[in-house]
Amino acid sequence: MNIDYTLNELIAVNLSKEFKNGEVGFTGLATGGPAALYITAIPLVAMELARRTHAPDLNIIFAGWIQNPDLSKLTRLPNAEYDETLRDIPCEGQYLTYPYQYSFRRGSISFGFGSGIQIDKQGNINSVCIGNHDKPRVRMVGPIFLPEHFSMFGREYVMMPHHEKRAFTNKVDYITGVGYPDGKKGRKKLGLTRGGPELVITPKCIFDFDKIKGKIKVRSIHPNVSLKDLQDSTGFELGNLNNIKNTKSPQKHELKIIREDIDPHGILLGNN
Amino acid sequence: MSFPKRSKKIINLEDAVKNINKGDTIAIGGFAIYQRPMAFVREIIKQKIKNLTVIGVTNSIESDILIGANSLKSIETSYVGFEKYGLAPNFRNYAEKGKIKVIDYPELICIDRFRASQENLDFWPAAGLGGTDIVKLNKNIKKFLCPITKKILHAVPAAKPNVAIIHALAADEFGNIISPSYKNMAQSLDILISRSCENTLVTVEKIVSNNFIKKHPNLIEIPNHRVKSISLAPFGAHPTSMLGKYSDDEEHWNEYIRASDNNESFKKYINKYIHSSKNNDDYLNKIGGAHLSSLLQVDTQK
Repeated sequence: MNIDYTLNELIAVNLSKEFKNGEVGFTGLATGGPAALYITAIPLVAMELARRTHAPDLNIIFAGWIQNPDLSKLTRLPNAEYDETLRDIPCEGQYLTYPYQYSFRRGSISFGFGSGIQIDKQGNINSVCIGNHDKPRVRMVGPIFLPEHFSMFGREYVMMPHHEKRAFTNKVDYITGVGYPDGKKGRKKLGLTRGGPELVITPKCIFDFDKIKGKIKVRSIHPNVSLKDLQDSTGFELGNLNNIKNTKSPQKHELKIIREDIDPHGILLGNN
Repeated sequence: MSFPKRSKKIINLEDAVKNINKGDTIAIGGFAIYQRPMAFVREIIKQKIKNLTVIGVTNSIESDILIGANSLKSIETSYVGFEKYGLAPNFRNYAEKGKIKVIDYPELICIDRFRASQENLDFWPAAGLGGTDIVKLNKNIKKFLCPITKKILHAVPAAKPNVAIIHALAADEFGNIISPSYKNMAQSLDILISRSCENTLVTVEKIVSNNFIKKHPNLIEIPNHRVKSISLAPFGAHPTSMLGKYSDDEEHWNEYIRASDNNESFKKYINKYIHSSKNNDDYLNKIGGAHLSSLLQVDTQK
């Protein structure tokens, strides 16, 4: 029957297949719990797995400034962008000052990973506030680097650690990064000639986009998640899900690489 | 034969802060939770200077404490948060009550605003902002078409700080500032903001001799003619970290966050560490010598 694997492994393996040889993948540093897992740890494992399977020339940029780190030398997940754990990890390059060693506005970043408190059915993301901007119900940290992720990178993988109604909404309260308003055509009208969200990954499913219509749709549903649970946790209509496939299970050899080579101590994906 | 003497730029911190006026637009050195000129910021609060605007890139405790002490009327930045220590409590509280004006910019555009000022330009041309609420809510960002290609761009206003405040490793008495050869964003941004403003006020860990400067001329990224004043402030970034010198003070960060839980406890914190401290030395004595020593790093800079 099924091989035993964790949800984190399922996501990492499926993500790894998205990356092509020769690309450059960018992950920033989120700190603390689920956010760190979804936008830092899982993407690192996915990229490293791609390097060890089909994409040896994939370049990893970790925490925005560490090129191709030796992840097996991590003793803990770094919790600050410029902490000593990062400074001292063996790597090929440290990108220390802006403008960096890459030209992201010329398209040197193939893909990145981001998250927010809300995403809507057009793929717009919000990391700023809930409610009215000048007197919000909830104020978050701000736009940070997300506008650039959504307009300058080749594509963006949106990593949402919680699949809840309030996070998956018809319309975000603040657009930090632009999805597909009126599809790709709409992006072009806004001057956005590149990039945009590619997939949205959650603990329950993987979304992709109809980029012509500019609409999010379910690409696959994770094993053991019911259609009802998925719709009940989502704030917008998902439509008919009867023909939706399950997210593909990881293969034995992929799990072996993750568990034995990439993350032998469970520092990135945890042990359960 | 006797020559005229060079002017010294050392003044005490109290006098340096008198250069800040009510309503000023200030750039505060450092980045996120690293190397913030905290001794200077504490003195701003002690002198009760109000109505300030912070123009930043990524901001944390240096702005949060000014917000909690009612010194800021607005902040323009991409981020206010405490990174590994979570959300910025006063920022969040004041923003949610509508008591501080927050103007959002993307992170690297925030830096470009200083690059524009460095080149004495009034704006920076930015691609990729169309469709965001960053543009929609900010009348000072203007859409225009590239005069060469007709591509859609946005003119983002230059930073134009009245005053830049930096905490650095060392300087001589003439105001030549030593920057470490191994730098990250905090030290690089300090250099950039010193080039974007004619009022750069610097605090330093140590005053060194002019001969020491002459031994390390390649480390002078901020020369004396770009500096208005220097003031001695050992551990002047505390509780934030100082690259190669000391780590951030986790205990104190947590004390600050606990104190920010309500008005009463925050007032007590401000009173204890700022209003009832005579000066930076007095503040450091309250933190404690042994505790400060425990934060010292082995310098592994290459």
